[in-house]
Amino acid sequence: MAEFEFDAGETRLLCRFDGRMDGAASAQLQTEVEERLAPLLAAHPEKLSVTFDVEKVTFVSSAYLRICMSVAQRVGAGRFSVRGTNPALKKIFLVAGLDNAFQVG
Amino acid sequence: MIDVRKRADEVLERATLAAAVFHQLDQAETDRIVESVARAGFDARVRLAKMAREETGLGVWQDKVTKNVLATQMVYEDIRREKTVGILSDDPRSGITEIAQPLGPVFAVTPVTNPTSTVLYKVLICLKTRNPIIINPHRRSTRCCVETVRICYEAALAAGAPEDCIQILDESSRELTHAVMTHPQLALILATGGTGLVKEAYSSGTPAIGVGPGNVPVLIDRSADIPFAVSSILMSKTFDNGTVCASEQAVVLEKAIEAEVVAEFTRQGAYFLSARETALVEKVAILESSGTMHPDIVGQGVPEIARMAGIEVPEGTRLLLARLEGTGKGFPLSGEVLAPILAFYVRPDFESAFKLCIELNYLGGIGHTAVIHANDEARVLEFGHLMNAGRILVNTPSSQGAVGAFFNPLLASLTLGCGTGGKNITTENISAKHLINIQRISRRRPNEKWLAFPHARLLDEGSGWDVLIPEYHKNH
Repeated sequence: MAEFEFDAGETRLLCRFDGRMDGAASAQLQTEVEERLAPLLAAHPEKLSVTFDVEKVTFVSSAYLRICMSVAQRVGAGRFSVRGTNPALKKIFLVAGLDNAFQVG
Repeated sequence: MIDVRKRADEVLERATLAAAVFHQLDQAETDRIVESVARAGFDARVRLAKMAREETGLGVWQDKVTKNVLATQMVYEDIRREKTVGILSDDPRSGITEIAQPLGPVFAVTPVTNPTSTVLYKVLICLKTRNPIIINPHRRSTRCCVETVRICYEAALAAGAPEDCIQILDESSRELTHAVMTHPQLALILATGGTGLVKEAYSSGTPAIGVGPGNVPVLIDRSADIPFAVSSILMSKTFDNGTVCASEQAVVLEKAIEAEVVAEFTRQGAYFLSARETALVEKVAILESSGTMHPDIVGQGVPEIARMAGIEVPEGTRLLLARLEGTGKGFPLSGEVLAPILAFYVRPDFESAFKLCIELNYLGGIGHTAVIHANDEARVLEFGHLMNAGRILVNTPSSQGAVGAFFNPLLASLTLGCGTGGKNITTENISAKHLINIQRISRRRPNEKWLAFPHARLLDEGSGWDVLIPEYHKNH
């Protein structure tokens, strides 16, 4: 069971996730992130920063990792980060080579 | 024209994400995926065999069914209980705990001779070890390999495998193959194919497990059960029209049993070519320019070969035998031919027959497979000691014996290691156990002898082995 929580400011978007981010959850998440990201990005294309908090995440799918890559690409270098990884999850992001694309904390 | 670098990047990016996701699966989750794919592949064995035969024009579909069974059921039987995730062993005495880790994306080159079976087998051993796989099919077997991958991938996803855990390059080219082989995100190449391709894999800078070419001699000793030996050789060399690289290439025997062996081969459906017919078959079987087998002859049955060569053979002939006197240049059929054509040699005695087997073994088949039919254990051992072959098969059909499962407990496999003689890292049949990195947690267990040893004495140039080693082993 996956849960999402969003906290949006004028130039920042914090997304908190809980549970398994499998393929089905990621498909739903894709829509929800897009709904929140698109207007903020349109309003502040150069300033918006996005953070994914994965502290309570127990599993990530390829689709979830692709969402991370896509959001990082859209908001621009240095303005997307993932935080709250446990050691196992940190390794997943490193094996995927995503630490080169955004900050993984 | 596709941008090969871009395509390679896309494929490896997907595979790398799949590799990351794979790290999260435990043994039970992994095993569920493997079982699901083995079942799906097994259930599709007949359709895939027919597709492979139709697309490639090689072999016999019924035998390709057997190959698909080997690649699914038999491989599964071998690996199903194997631990490939997490702790493999834990020894409190030595303080060493072994942990399995996946390798990462694997690039699997597959041959035209065993297309669907090689895909099924490689997919299973990669999934069992949590490695994403990218299939590079031979261009003459793309359709059947794409279908095999589709079946495996759907079954894998249904059982919880990561997206893109199986991919196929259905538009493969030499350039794309090279781009993938040399890609920095690729972990391993599993190369089953021709010598050139295997060499390219080894030259890529990426770790590779390859195979060597075969030129399998079979020695019939006078202690053998001759009808049984002949029956085994026929069963093997006609299997899938001789497309297995481990199939026999030359029969060698001593003069004393010639009459009986010839009569038995003839009785069981083999045909001895005359000198004129041998020359005609050589022309269609071997490329004059390189001395290697002609691609058009591979996997063809006796009627097709006879038609190509312009010779007539008795109806129902299953195998062609060519009497040869020597090996190498001047004797084209002494090399590897993946078709139901066998060289036939008679030598005055056992010793000269044995020496000829060694000569054939070193003529393009080092490290692969050799066969002896004998009931004299001393001769079996002598043969085993002197042949350079990863598999020395005894009283066994080579095609079905070398691949394991059916006639012996060798690992079920469609990639047969040929050791350093064949430019490979192992002589084993390749399976899941070769596709994991084993990490060792090594806890402090001091070497008491080393701690008690007066280390300062090592600095004394005047003290040598005779003085210091007894000191090291001294019981204090």
